[in-house]
Amino acid sequence: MKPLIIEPRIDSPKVILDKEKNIFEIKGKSLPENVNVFYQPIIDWFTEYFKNPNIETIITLQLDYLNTASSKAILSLFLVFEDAYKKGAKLKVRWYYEEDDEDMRDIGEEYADIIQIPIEIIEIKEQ
Amino acid sequence: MLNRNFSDYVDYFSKIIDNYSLFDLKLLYEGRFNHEIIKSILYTIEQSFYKLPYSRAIQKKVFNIMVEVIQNIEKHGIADINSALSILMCEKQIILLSGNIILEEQKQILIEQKSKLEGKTKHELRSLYKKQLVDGVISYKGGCWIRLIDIARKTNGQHYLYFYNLDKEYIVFIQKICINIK
Repeated sequence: MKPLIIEPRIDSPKVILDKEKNIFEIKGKSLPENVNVFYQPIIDWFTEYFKNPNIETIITLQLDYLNTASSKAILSLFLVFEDAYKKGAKLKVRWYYEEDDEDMRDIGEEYADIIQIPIEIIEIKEQ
Repeated sequence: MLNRNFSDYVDYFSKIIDNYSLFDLKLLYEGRFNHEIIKSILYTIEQSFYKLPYSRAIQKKVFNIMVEVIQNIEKHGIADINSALSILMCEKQIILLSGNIILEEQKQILIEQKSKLEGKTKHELRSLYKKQLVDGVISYKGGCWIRLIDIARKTNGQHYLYFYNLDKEYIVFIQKICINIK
């Protein structure tokens, strides 16, 4: 399966989805002009991936900023994960937030309340 | 297309800012909002914030709220009319002020939406946000309900809306958002 790599921009995160290397990461700011244009290829990629996933899939989400439009798009992504999980895929989401950033922690916890998959909420300690 | 002189409105916005003489004015923008301009404003804010003595969590909170405010103006404000945005800072508080023109019918919707948030606890706002995240739609004629909820929960309700009638159809919509610095 061809990897999906999207370089970061001022309004959109870096995306690395690579089945062969078992890397699934979305990192950075998410406030794109059109969330559907940005997130639909990611949703499509995961939908295809979960037809034949790796033995274990650990998805890293580390977002500095997330606007409300993006939060809806990411919920759609989580629904893809939940569907795969219910069908037997072994997966886990690691939701990272920076130390003291209670807003990003809260959003992660809200996804964990809504979506029935393992979600780890992990604080990144300041160096 | 709205055909009137808006110099009074811009003067009015400047007078509001003058009331905050104890605050440092860190940003004042007046003009059209589109996504490219938004990116430039946000880049400017982000770069200047790193030089200020606020925690990164506070910087991110201001940035996040600013994004919601200006994307709301971009999506729901009246096109081809200038809007205004400012950031004022002091030792204990950051104030975001925005001003834009809306329709009278949007005013009623905003008042109704805002009243539903009054007196809500953080936990209640969180439940509302989750419900809207799952059930709601982003676009809304009067503005965006989920954005109002998001701002309320990030500011402990320190989000104030003011309306000034230009005429029977058009309203100056001023938002004031206060962020306390711990």
